[in-house]
Amino acid sequence: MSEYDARGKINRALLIGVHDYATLSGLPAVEDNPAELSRALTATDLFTADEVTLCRPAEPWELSQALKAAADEARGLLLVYFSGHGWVGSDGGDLRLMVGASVPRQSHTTVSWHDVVLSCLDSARAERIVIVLECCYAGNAGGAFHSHRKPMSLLMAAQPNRRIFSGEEPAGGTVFTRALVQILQNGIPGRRFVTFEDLVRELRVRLAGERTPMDDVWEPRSAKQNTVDDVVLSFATPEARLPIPPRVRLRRRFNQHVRPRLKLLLALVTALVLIAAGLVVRQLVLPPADCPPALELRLLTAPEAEPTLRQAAFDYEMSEANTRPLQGEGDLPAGCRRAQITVYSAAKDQIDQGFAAAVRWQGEARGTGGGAQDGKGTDPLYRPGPQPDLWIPESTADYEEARRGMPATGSPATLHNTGPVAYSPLVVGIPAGKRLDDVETVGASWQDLLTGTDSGHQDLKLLRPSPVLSGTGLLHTIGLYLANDGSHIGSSGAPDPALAEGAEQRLSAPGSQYADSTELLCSLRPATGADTAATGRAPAGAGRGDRSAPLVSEKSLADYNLGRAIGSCPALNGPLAPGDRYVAYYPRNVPALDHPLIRVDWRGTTDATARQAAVDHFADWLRAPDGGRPVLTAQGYRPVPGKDGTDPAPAPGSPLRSSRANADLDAPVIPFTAGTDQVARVLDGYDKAQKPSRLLLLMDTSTSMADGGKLPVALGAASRALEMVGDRHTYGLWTFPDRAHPGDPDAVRRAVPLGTVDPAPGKAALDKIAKGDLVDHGAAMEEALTAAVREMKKSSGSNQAIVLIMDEDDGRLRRAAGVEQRLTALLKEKPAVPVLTLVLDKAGCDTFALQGLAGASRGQCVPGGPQAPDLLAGLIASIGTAGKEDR
Amino acid sequence: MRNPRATWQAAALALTLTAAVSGCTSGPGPGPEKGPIVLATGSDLSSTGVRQALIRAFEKRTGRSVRIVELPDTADGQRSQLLAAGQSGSGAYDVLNLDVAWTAEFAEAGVIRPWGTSLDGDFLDSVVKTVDYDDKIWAVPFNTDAGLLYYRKDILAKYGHGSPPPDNWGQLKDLALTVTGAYNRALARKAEDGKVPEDRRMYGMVAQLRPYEGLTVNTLESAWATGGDPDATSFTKGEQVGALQLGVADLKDRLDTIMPHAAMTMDETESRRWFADGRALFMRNWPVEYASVAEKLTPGTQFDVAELPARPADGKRISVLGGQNLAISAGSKRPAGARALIEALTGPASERCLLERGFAATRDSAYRAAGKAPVCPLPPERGEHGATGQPWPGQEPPYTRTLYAALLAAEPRPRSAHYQTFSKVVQIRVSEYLGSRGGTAIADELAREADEALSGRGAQRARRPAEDG
Repeated sequence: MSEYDARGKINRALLIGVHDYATLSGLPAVEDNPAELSRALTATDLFTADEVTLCRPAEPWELSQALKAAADEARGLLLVYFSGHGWVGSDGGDLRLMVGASVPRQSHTTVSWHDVVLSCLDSARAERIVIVLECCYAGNAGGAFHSHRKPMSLLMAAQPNRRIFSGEEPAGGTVFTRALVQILQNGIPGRRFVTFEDLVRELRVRLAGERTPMDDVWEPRSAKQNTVDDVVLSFATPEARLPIPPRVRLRRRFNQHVRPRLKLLLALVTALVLIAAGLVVRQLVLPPADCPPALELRLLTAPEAEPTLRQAAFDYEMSEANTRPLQGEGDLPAGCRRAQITVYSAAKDQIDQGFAAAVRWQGEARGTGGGAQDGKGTDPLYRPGPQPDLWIPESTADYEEARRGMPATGSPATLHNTGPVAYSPLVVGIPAGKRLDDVETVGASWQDLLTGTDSGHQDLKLLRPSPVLSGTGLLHTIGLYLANDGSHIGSSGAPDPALAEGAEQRLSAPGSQYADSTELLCSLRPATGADTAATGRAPAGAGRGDRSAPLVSEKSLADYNLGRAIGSCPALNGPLAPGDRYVAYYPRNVPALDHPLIRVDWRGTTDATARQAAVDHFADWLRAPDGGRPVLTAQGYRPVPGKDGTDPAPAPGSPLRSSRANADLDAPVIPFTAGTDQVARVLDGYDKAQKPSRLLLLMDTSTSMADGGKLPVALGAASRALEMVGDRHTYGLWTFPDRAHPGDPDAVRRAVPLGTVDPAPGKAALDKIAKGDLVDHGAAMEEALTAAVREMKKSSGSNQAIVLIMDEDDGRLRRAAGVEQRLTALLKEKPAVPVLTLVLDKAGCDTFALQGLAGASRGQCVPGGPQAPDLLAGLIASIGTAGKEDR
Repeated sequence: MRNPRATWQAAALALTLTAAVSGCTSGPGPGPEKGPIVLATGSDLSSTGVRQALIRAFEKRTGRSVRIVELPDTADGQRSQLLAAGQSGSGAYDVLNLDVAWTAEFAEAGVIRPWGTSLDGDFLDSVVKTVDYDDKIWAVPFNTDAGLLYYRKDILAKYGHGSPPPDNWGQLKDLALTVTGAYNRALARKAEDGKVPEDRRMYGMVAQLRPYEGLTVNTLESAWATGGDPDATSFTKGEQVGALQLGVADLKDRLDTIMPHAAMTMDETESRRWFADGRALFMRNWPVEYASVAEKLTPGTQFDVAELPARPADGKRISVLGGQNLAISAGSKRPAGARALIEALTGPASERCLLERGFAATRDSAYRAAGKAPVCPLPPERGEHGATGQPWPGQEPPYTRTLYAALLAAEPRPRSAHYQTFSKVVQIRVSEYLGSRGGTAIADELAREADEALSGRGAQRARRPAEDG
């Protein structure tokens, strides 16, 4: 049986002794009982002096009040002792405790054991209750003894229906209590302490020789409720005392010193809480100070990274990092967002041109018009767009290239590279059904991959985003040229021209390149009815995905396999079918996309300090494990190393961990180590490996182009095409219908002759069109195109294409028979002249004629829209690639 | 509202108009201000078109030149650049062409200056709300816009449901289900394999549910149609949460029952393409798409437009107001010229020109019956050819009456300096909700986040668990 040890707890002993009665005989022996008992109880460690209350009630309420007080206060052990007259009814029930003024048979002058004492104790908060009754009929208390829930022990001085006092006992304590006190005071031999059960047993022994006034055997009784445990009532012992356990001391110290002050503490805390609550209510009632608009930051990135960074930027805006007051920045009301971030993207070459023409960028932004337009008609404020406060290109190579294009001095823009924020290794996607024999997915060199995909093996068409337009394309080209044999790229060393040429031989065919890697993958997605209908794009990729091997990043390949939104392709309901997926092959020692965060400082900015601090703050958050890092890895990027240099694995939620992503997390992240010169040499090698090309821009200039915002798109696309021309890539610009011969559907106006190198005349012609030089006549597209194709086919060169920018084929109603058939036949003749068509008509590319054109010429069709110029540029960029015609 | 006004007012207007046309306005002509007036605007204003023509007419009349700075080609990019440049104190622009949703933010950021005077009573009350912030007028409405319900008149009639189109969204859904069901069954019977090819199947409706500003617009309209208060400044108070929840739930219900899944990737152009291709019975879109639809479907016979469905409680048909306002840049060194240019571009005659050339005018007078309306002083557009030319030379477009009614009932988006963040919250949350399978209520969270966004403060909770890798 375990013993309840109440030491150190908040205990109470209510010791009631009534010796002086108004109507009943006095009990002088009782008078000393409480004091004696009190001394015994406080002699050991159980009760402290102030825990013991002595009570001599004259009125019933005095007893019940004292009882209630003790019951309320006790938390540990509550001991209630009554010594005085007791009285029962004729049936022996309802024991009544008699106080000084009690009159027998006047129950209201007495205290009911059942109704008052027990019911009061039942609601006590003490853990254990011990009651000692020393009165006549004390034994009758057992009959009504009950408790709903409290563990209670009851010690009755005698058996039922016994009187124990005659009133003639001498003063100086009663027999029972004297025995009680002795036991509690001296302990029991062989026992370390005195429990309730010990006490009962010992009392029986000691009182065995005593007789009640009625001459009965004096036999104390006991009862228990709601407990089988015993409870220690005294630590007195004739043996050696045990030391007080530390928990008891601690408990006591708390209860003695802290708890009395608890009320004060509580009062203080309550007051503080009330004040705080008042302030909060005040805040709610009086709205907090209005937040001013946050500092607007412009974040420029590559189209591939835009969705992820958009998400990260929004999370940052709403994060605590952006709303917590900063030291020294007390100018904002509490909790206001400090920065807001607009994320936008542009093709790499336009960003390069923008930084190169930073003077004009800033001039236009300031409205001062500073910085003349260059020959290519660069208008940085229109494209790439806003002047960035921070730029996150796909790789450090992009940054190096942009810096190379900037003037050494005098640029109003200064670029600060703060280092990578997220990685994605570069991969080659191999159709799941055409895994390469004897080539490891991780660790094989580019040479192995080139061999494994060549016509003697899996015969796959390698597709790469343009190195000019896309960061992925550039870095892949660097890997292909410099890590061809799988060796580590040092910070010097030039690409072998033969190697470059060999590699470019494999990256083949007009129409194979794309402005960015996500659009490339979008074009390969197996066609479903809903998709093509939603994007309005011809299912260009239908059926060619399983013959192609795209050079992309691990992240975009995972997105593709998992059926996530990619480029302009919306998300699918789930991952692609296993056979439609690509397996990621990681060419050895090819550096990963590292997404460096470049802070851009613009000269003359009045809030430069705040702006730079805001960018740095965001940059820190973006790399933090509890900030942007989980956002980036949840989107399929590899995290940057922690501050301790450890390489963290992508989080469990990373899409890369899905087996359906067909990625391999064992593939290492290779940091970018190539130098600025190497990037330049690689691009130079790329340029040299391309054959000269010829482009014919054929543009519909009928007045219908002026409607519905078509003309700006058409001119934007044509200007974009002109940006791609140069020494070895010549062009011509023809328009139709011809103002001189408006009635002749075959006539075209040769605004800029074929073979032109300088983009200026083309730009001038476009400006004229922009100012309204349109021909008010229907445009007969097929006739004009026939003329253009005839001209182009006169040359035997393989690297040429026609860019057809058209609204609607107005000639179709009056068209002579056979025009379309002849055009189709002509297009199929060698040499191939792919027709890259931009259609501004509402119908887009979904017409039989346009599909036929694209098919017969091995070209493509792009519908009008904001992305049209870049899509077209990607297609044009591939014209010069030295391709094998049959691919 | 303000339909025919007192005669003297019309006379006064006519006088102003004459003055404007004959070049005798009291506005400052060539004055002490040096250099061209710099107007910063999106690309749609800088090439051809009626707005460009109005600017050229101003140059001709006043002798002052206007230099147009072509801003980034997306609305987000324009806002970002104008705001950031304004905050950096590096803008020397005179006139800014601003989206109607940006007024509060640009005013608070000190990027634009107050217009200084009240606007004349000819401007539509609803439209004036978009330039009114903090009890001041900050810009002048240039062109406005209101969403309309496009419907296939021919197909509805064929299946026994003639005009008018359904009165509320519930009826629209039921009707769409009935009619498209019958239509597609008939199509299937004709098909060889008994199946309707996906690209010929008729859906009940299309709208702009891609996560961009269009989704915010459609969400607000849906919430307003279920009892939401367009003037409410909080979404967490009173009945606003309920209206928001009902609104997004209705939107999802329409997406799940009568719209194609692809609606979640649609913007104005894509949805219009579906409708014009005969793949949807109804479409919510702006009037600017009317001409494009009319290139493929015959207006008045095959399709027509109506106001958006009414909300059952009070019959209101509330659309979101679109459009652009012209404001004077805070840093302008040519404020008088800027003011003159704005007054000219937003005058009664100019607004009539805008209406005739396919824009929604901001002035009441522009919508008067021909003969009573101001006369557009621009020379007629170059002759039309084919069906694709400017369809309504010298007269009002066929949807004008409907548009006018829609504009009177239309309401601006929440006028807050933090609207942009609010819109981002709506786009992210509603897009997640629309794409989810269950129908878990999101209104409480959405409303709280929307309020946080509008307050300019941050999220009051951990947004996502920290990475444990």
